[in-house]
Amino acid sequence: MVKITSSDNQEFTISKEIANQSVLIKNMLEDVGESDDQPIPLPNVSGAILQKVIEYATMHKDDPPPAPEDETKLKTSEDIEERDKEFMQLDQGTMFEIILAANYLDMKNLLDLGCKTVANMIKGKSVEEVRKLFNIVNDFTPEEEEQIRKENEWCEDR
Amino acid sequence: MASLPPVLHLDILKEILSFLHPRQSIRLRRLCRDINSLILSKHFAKQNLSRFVSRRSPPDSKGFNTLEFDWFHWPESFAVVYVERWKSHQSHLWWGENAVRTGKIPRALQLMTGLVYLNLGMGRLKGEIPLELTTIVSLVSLDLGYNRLEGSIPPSIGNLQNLRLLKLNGNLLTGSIPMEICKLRNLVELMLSRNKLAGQIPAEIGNLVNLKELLLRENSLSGPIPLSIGQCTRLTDLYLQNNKLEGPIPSELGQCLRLENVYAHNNQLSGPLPQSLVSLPRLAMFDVRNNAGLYCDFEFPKLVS
Repeated sequence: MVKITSSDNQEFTISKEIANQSVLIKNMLEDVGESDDQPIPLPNVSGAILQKVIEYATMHKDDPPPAPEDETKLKTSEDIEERDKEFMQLDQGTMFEIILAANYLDMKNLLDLGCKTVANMIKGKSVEEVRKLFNIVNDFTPEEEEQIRKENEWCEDR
Repeated sequence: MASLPPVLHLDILKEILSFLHPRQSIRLRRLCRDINSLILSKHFAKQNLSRFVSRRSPPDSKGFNTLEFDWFHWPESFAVVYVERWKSHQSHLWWGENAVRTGKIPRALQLMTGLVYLNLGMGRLKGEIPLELTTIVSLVSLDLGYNRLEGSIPPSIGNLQNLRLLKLNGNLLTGSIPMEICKLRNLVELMLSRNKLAGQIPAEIGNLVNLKELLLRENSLSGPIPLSIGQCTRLTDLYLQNNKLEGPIPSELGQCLRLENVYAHNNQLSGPLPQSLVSLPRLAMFDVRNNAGLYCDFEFPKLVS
């Protein structure tokens, strides 16, 4: 078993196969060796989010190892398993936190799932709505924005 | 939970946007400067397109066609990545039936070094004929007819030595017909009608010994009909009407024994019609109405004057 602690000092004990789904933790475990039973600190992830991440990792612990990069297979945002879709029924804040945690913990599948889910949210939203969603400040001059709008005439109104 | 969602940094936004169809992701260039540069980068184009076009097998026809049409609008980075990865071994490229036919001819086309047929006719393509196009020496057929192309015909067109068909008619092309066009010895059909071309028909036109159709009507071409035309012995159709051509009809035209249709009306041609025309065995029509002073002093039944 492996012990991890969150940014708010909650301690979790998880099996090694679950821990290994995070490349970050896997590498740490390899570095410190088997014998060390000091908990691994994860100062970038809160307990509530770590809980969700562990839930995801548990759900996927029996997945077959990923096939080598298959060039003929396209991985679009439509490509989401039903159980993952359910898992991602979250408020936007939590969803973004999980994406950041997956990025930090180096969990590619969870990061992809989060990004696909957000990509699906963006579809059909106006540029203004997307700015709001990501809290992006428009720093173009009106002329610059108009220029891009012109270049994008072919895709703007869809 | 925090009331404000956390800010996702650019690396993560890149991942998210790369899952959108290029039509959707490119649309989001307008979000802010950083994202605009990100989307225009070749690296993003690669990642984005990799999710929508497979390297080995073509995707379903619907997705393929959508990308194909969009190609003419994409930023250069997308166009280049698309050609580099998926198109470089393709020999044919033409409009689909329901194409949104606008945009410019992508310069990235030059990367399709094995292209044989390029048919982008009957669209609404704008801009000039990119010089890059004249580096695809494998081209046998180049059809850019009936678009809105401007500028002049690049002299480097003479590089396309394998060309059998050159169709640039129905555009807004200006300048003169470059004499380099006469280097295209394999040319069978040369269609430059309905443009704004001025200047003279190159005197070397006779080098095009394989030419069957020479269509130059409805331009502003002036000067004489070159004497060398007599060397185009395979010529069947000669359309010169509605220009400003001057001088006589050369008797050398009588050497083009396969001639079927000659239209030279609405010019400023003058002088006597050469008697050599009478013996052209296949001639069906010889129309010289409305010229400056052409006259015929022999029996010529095919003549329309």
